[in-house]
Amino acid sequence: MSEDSKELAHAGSFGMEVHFHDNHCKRSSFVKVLTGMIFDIANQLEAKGGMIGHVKLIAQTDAGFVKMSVVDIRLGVETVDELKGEAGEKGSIKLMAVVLGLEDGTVEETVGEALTHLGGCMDYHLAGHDCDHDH
Amino acid sequence: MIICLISGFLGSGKTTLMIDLGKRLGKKGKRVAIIVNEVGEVGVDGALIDAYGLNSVELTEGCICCSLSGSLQNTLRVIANDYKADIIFIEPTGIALPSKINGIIRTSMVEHESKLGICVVDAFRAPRIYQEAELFFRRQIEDVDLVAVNKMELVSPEQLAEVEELVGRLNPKAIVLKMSAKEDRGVEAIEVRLVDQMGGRA
Repeated sequence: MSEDSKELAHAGSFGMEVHFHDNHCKRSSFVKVLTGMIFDIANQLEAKGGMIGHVKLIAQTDAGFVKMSVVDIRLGVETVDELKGEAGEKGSIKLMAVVLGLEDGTVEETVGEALTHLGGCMDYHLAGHDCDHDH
Repeated sequence: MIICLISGFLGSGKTTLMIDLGKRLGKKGKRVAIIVNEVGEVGVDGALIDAYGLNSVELTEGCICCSLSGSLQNTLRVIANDYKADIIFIEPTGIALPSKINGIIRTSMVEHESKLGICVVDAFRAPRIYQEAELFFRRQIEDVDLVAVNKMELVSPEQLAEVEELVGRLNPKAIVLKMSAKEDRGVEAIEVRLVDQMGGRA
């Protein structure tokens, strides 16, 4: 296979997984924080000249999961909320962004900056680090 | 066993459609396996599919139509031999080219009764995608049996007709169906087609 479809599409992408614990936000605030974060990422990527392919996340907690998706900022954030009861105290967030017309590094930087949204609700860290938390 | 390739541009609704079809066929007693592929190193779709209780294998950090073609062939062989699936759904990345995946399936030598290639098109974004990523839009539509024009709830009847006309022009041989995976409209027509291909055994 000589063609690389990502290069052919001039696409940049970045994916990451965050682990969180001590989430003190209620379900509505938790969803609002995630909504703000994913929309901020999409908005910033467009502002930097990219065309959103797909920005999506799944937050899995001890109370269920929330899936969010942005394909066009005019449509806002599409949410599937399958949490049972409250948001849950700990869990993980997997996030993936694919954008046409931007480099991987720009997408990574944009996603990294938007992570600060989470700070209002929880302690978090990137998956794969060494820590002594129970998660 | 049949193979169903669900392609389509990024964010067109492939995963939503596939989960819906997987759940429907599962309720009919079919053994459903899913191979899902993401561009990046973190699999969001695989986590979602698993959360709905469906059996999936996730291939990440590359595209199965190019850099991960060998992984796709190996995974197909393992599922065909070990899982005895009635249907294998393959969901490539949104920037994969179906013609290349068809070639990879062919050369995998995995026995299957038939194959259905579906391209999911986002009715709302189709004009922009056609303008800014024409190569992918065109090639993803050219090489399939069925085009599912999704997100019909987001556009007017006139806009929908324009997208249908564009799709029909790009692939005159394909069946074109209108649907809303989100609102569960039009999915049944695809389910019926898949069941028919499995020999109509409900």
